Amino acid sequence: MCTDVKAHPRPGGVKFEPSSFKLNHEMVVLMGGRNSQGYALFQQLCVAAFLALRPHAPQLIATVQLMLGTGLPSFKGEGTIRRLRDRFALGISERQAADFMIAVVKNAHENVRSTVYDEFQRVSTYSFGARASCAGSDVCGDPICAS
Amino acid sequence: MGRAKVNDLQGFFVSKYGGEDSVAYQKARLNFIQSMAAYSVACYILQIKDRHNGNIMIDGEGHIIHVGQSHTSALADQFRVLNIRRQTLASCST
Repeated sequence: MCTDVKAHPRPGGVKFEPSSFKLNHEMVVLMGGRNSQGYALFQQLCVAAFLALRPHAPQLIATVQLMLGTGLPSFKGEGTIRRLRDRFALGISERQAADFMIAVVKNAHENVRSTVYDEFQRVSTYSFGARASCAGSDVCGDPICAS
Repeated sequence: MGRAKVNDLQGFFVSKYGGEDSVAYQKARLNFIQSMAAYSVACYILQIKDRHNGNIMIDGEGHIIHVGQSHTSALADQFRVLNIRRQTLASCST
């Protein structure tokens, strides 16, 4: 788990994952498309979850704060806590927070950085190169394929 | 970059649960949407990173499951979780 956008070490030191979450094209297609009922339900559930989470922000922040002393690379002192608190958007009303979450979802939708990150992982990681090529071959040592 | 769009998650759901109008497909899609919403908010708040397609899986009922690289093979063995990647699905789901 990484609680800090800038602190997560990646092979090659790449730090361009989007700051929201992953929501790519095929996920949206499965939900039924951008203007479907399914996607509306998804957005509605995201907002509901966010609003349900906000009252518990102090407890969650306190829990993360306990981890600061571990020295793990994900936790970079007060800046990490400040950014975590900012993500809860505690200074605004529930109504505004709902709009805020919708904006986050919108930002995540087919985010270019997410697509680029996927491609980067595909070409950079040896094991992924092997998985990508296993579709057409009989020999595949991938543990996922073996299961 | 084009490859991520070629991966066919919906095609996988159709082949696994039946046509778009079937009850099983609708149920699986609802599971997907619900788990996706919960994971999305959690990933956003905690800024869980390294979310490339290889770290996201689909369980037998259509729920999405986020894993870390170190957990991938253990989870796959334990729950027979299928990797989201189309290439893997092509060889695993048959």
